[in-house]
Amino acid sequence: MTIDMLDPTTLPMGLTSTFTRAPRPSSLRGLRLGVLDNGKPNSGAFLDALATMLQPRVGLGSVTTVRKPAIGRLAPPELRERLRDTADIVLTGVGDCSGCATCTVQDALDLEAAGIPTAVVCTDEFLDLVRRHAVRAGATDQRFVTLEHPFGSRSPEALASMASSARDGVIAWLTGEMPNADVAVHAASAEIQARSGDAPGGEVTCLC
Amino acid sequence: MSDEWESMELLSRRLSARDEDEARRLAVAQGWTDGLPIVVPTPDRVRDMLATDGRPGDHVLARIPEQGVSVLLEQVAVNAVMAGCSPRDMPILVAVVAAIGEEPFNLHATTVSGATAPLTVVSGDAVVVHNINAGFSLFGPGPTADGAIGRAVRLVLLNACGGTPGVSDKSTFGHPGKFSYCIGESTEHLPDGWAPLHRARGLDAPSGITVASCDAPIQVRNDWSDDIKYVLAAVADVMSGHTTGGTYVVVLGPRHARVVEAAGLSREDVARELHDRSARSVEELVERGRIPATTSDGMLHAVRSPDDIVLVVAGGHLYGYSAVLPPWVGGHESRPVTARLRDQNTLAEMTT
Repeated sequence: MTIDMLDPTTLPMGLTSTFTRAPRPSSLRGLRLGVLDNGKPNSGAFLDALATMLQPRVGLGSVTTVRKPAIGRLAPPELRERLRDTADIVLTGVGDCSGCATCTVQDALDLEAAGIPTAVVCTDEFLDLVRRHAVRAGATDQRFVTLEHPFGSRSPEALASMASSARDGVIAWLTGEMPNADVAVHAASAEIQARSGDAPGGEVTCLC
Repeated sequence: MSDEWESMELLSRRLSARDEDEARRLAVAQGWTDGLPIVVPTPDRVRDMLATDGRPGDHVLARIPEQGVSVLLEQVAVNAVMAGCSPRDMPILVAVVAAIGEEPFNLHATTVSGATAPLTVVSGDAVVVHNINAGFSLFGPGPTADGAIGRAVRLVLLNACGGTPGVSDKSTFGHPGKFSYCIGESTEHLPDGWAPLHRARGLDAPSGITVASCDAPIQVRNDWSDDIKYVLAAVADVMSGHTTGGTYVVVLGPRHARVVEAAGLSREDVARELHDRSARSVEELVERGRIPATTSDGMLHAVRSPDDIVLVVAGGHLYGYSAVLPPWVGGHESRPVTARLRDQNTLAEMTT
């Protein structure tokens, strides 16, 4: 005589089947960059440093920075609307806690679905979490720029160094030449490592 | 149970086991438990839970857009069985899950970030009707319904809201209230003129539940003074080291509540006193390592305004203790929610 037991876990609401990745531009030249700061300590400074380093490399049309009013929630509709109006590509982060990391990747997926290529930055300790979220949302091809955890207490010099190391990976992701790997930036050596998958293209150094 | 409920189709995936022992081991292996033994959620037991509510199992009680998931009534029923709830606990549990699903509570971030847990405070007639502990060893164990109800809330968070420790919940410590965190407000020790908590928060109903994302209770002892000044000073002093903003729950023990009553203070009076007395200089807080060094000076209160203090009266009546429950680390990004029990008529029928 067997006994039946019910599974207590819930099912996704249905985001999974509808995800579509934004088409990639061949070049970032002249494009308008939106920076979506999730509000975590150092996030704005890091993303600004990264935007500053992208500028001379690709010749952006403009840079617009917006900051989420609540770290642990999705970007409100008016903020997403503003990014749609002012940005062709977006940079968002830095997800360095469970609550904000999940929201940051979902913000990025929403922007991608709206046709805006978006790069996501989080810390390495939360890579498993954001990967799982992306896969569940149907974005199985999602890749991340990861910074060494902890992040919020890094010095301005360390942030600049990390931004410099992350730059080429961000360009590769936004132009569709992203390697089949996440881009990992370690503060100590500021080197770039590919965590898994195939060798990346471009100038990203792969140590896999 | 009527024929209608006996034949009701259930939505959840089914697993088969040789016996209850194997089913329990299977639940542990699947990562569905809090580590304590569960009651096996068989289809019949889950149907009994659902019959109490009366709505279909696919009724959506809460949505978590950040995770792309919904919490369905049937999932709550399954977790309620696992936690050891009785079907008569369902009105409380369902109201709690709906309340933590309200936008101001911020279920996603409070579940996976920070160390807090949703505290449930039952107030009004339901405290006695539903056998919720409002007395001795308030937050602790006992043969009352609050233990299983609070545990069911936790299992819902684990199994339906992304609250798995180490996987998505990466809090440093958590706290013991993450096993179960449900209390009643005393109906006998409320000071004269104090309405039950849910009425004080604007809900016109015989009973209500209030949820708040709370850290572990910090006990505040002052049992040598009947002077309201020192009782409130002690409570405010414990509050003063925490400056993340957000809403504090302060549980006044019955002896302290009696001091408050003797002083003729209302809920608003007490909240204002605690707000005022919790102010510390920025310089002192920096020196104590509680806030980062800053160029600003002046005074910082533990709360922005007296409205950010939820006062509850409960606990054993013999000693002079209160308890301070600090808020979630995200401060005002999570706010308490008060809700009614869905069907007071059903509740009345159940008690007869």
